[in-house]
Amino acid sequence: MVISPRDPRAPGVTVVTSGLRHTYPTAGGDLVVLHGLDLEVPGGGYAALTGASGAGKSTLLSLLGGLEAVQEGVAEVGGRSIATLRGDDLATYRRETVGFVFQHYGLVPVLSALENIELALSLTGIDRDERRDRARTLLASVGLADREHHRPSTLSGGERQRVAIARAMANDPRLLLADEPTGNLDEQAAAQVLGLLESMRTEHGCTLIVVTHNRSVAERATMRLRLDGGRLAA
Amino acid sequence: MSWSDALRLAFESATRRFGRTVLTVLAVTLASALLVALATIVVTANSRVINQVSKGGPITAIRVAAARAEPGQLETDDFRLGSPLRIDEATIAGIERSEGVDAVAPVLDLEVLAVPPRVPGGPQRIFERMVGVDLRHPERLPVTVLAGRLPAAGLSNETAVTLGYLDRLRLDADDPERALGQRVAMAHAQVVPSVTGELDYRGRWVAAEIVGVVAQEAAPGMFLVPIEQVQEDRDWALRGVGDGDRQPLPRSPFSGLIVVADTLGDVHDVREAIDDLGYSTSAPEQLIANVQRYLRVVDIVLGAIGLIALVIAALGITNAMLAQVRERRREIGVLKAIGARDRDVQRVFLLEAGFVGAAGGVAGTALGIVTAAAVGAVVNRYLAQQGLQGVELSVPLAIVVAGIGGATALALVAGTVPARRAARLPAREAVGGA
Amino acid sequence: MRGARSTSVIAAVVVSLVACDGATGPAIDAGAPPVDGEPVVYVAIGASESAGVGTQDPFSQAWPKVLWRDSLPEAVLYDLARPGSTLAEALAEQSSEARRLHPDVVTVWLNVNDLIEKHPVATYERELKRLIFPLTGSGATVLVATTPRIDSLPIYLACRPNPPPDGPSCPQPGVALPTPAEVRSMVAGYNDVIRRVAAEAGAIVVDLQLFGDAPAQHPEWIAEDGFHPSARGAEVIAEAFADALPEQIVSEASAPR
Repeated sequence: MVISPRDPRAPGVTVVTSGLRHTYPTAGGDLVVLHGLDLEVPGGGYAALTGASGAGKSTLLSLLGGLEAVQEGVAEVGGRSIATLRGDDLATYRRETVGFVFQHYGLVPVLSALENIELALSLTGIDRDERRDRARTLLASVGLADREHHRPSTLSGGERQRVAIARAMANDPRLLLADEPTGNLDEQAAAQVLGLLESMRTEHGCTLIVVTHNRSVAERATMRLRLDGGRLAA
Repeated sequence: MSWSDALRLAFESATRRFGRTVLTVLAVTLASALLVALATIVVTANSRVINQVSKGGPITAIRVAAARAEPGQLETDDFRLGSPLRIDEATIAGIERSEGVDAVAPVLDLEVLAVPPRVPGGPQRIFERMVGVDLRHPERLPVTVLAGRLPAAGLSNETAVTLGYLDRLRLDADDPERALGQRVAMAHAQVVPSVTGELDYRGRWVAAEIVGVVAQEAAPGMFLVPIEQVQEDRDWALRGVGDGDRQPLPRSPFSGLIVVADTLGDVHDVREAIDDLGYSTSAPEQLIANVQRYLRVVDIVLGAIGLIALVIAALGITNAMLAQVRERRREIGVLKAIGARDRDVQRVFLLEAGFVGAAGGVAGTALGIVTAAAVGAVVNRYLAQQGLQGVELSVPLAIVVAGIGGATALALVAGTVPARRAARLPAREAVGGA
Repeated sequence: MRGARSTSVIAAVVVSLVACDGATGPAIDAGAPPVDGEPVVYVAIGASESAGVGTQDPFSQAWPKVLWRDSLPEAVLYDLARPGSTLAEALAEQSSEARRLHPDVVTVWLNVNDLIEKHPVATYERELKRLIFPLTGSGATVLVATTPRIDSLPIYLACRPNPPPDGPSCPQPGVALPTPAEVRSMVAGYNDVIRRVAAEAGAIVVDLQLFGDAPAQHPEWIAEDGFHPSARGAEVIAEAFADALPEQIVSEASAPR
């Protein structure tokens, strides 16, 4: 489901939730993680999600990223509801609208840097040659053109995350989600990664939401949303 | 994700995680090797055993006697002989025309007086039967050459003898070559009344050279000769009067036939057709059926053993892949996070299982054939030492295809559950933790 | 019985996978090409001496057998000799079968019985011609034996006055026998006929007179009955016939076919 065709004058998509609730079944009964969350991020915005552990940051991100189906409440991305998406539709949403960057990088260890990016492109059905070219371009755009054939194990943390960012950008996402992207990186690499994410936002017109518990990271964003006990704190 | 992309990803995963997969591939290899080796040995052994039953002749041979069939003939393998019934060229032509008949070999046997070379304690003469067969087509005959060769066809002065001859002449049965080259004078009588009122026995004498020692089932008889010789003897005798029961005239042009059916499946029908003509027949139908049944049991048991090995290997695949799915949860979650559908993930894992199966199947089939060949070489060395005929390994293409295809298919089946589990993993595994 | 048999056979067959009957291979190759030519045919016409009476084993020691075995081994022998046969009887019984067989070689020894029955020479000559001519006419090589020296046979002497003490006893005492001179005269008469008819018909004479007084000089050639040739005697007679056989016949009937 394509949210909207790329319009340079409409950078990114708006993200709106209302009364978002989410529960996890556990051994000791149901655990409510989100207690009716309302938030709004404008299109092209740069939001930092902060909060203590267990406050629901990752859950919110995984819901917005389509990693999980919405159980209760309203969730709209780019004006379209994602609350009713399931199965293949959800996969399509993830593929076409969202770009996800993980704390653990999430690269396939048996594939090279280029192949990891190609993997994301292979899900869209474009042909092999075009896929390769595009992957090369993306890899070059994160400054790792010379690391094409390197496996993740031979790359530094920062380099891996940059490859992950290139992969996340592969299918031209409107919504770029990053879950503690600099959590495992040193200061220098962290700065580089954040800079990349931010430039992706401005150059490609995405809405950028970063989950972090790092103040300095959070302060780079234009919006700071703090979660507390599954709700948005003031 | 297209099948080719899934294939490539599966291939990379399987081969670049070599350490993880090699043990599983090894298990499949050994199991396939066992199954292929067993199958190859069984196929080779079965054909050898079945051929033994036919004692050197075609396995589809039916013996026909110059006698009527008693009731119940077709239910038994042995002759149930009734009164004499003539077999002539017309009989042969009639049977040759029947469905399912490959060839008809005539047999004519007569009583013969044989004067063997003198040995101390040996007989001066032997009254035995001389069996005449068409030696232009020895492949149709239930004859096994133990030493030397078969006599030349036509009016050759050559004969082959059975082990009974060695026995009569007190020769060592373990050294049949000793009989080769001996000359035996063989005579058949023409009985004529003389002016004196008594019967005069005139002899037709042939000095035959023993060129071979054989085991033969064409007809009871110690001497195997070309049918042309016996026909000359018969013509000679028929110009006389015979002497009643002691040496009755050989009325029937042939004393028997060996009818070769096209296939084992035709044997009964051909026997029935000959029975309809009135003749008594004998064929190892029940014996072969019993042997085949027995062999089938052996086949099934051996096949089950091989199959169990494969199932065990398959369980190994399932186990190993389930572990993989557990280990690669985050990777699977990420795959989904970047947009892979459930069935894309399922495809990849299924193909990974398929690779393991195919690799193991190819290696196992090759190893199995080599093993069977090695076993065959050992067996042949033993057989040669015992002076016996060796076995020839036969590897039907079906076994190769089944070995590789079967292992692959089994692996795909084994991978179904892990693949489904991988497919069902929630994408949030990518993030890990609530 | 059936079930037991098939079970034990199955067991034997299956076990005999490796321990079979010692076959050296499937009998596909006869090993020699089929023989299509006609064999040499040898027909023996005669009476008791030709039938081997007097030897220990007539089947192998009769002189035609010896001739056949030693000189014509690849030939087929049709032994028509009947003990007691005269020439006339042979004409009635042996002649037509002999002709039907289209022989290549024929041996004829029919004289002693005729002599004993005192058949006239003229009759003998007529009958001999009727026997020999059709055979030579069909292309057979015919060997005819003359009458050997019989007036010194122990059996004859036994019936004459003053029989030798160590010989056989006379089978028909009191029968009047011709004198030795008379016997020799009759023998000569027969032998003249034989030589003449043989010459006319193109047959070969095997002159047993050439042995001389064989019964006296070689008693070991005479059987215990004092009349027939012994086994040794048969060998000697066979040699005489063999010497008379044409080379070509011998080589034809000796070559393995």
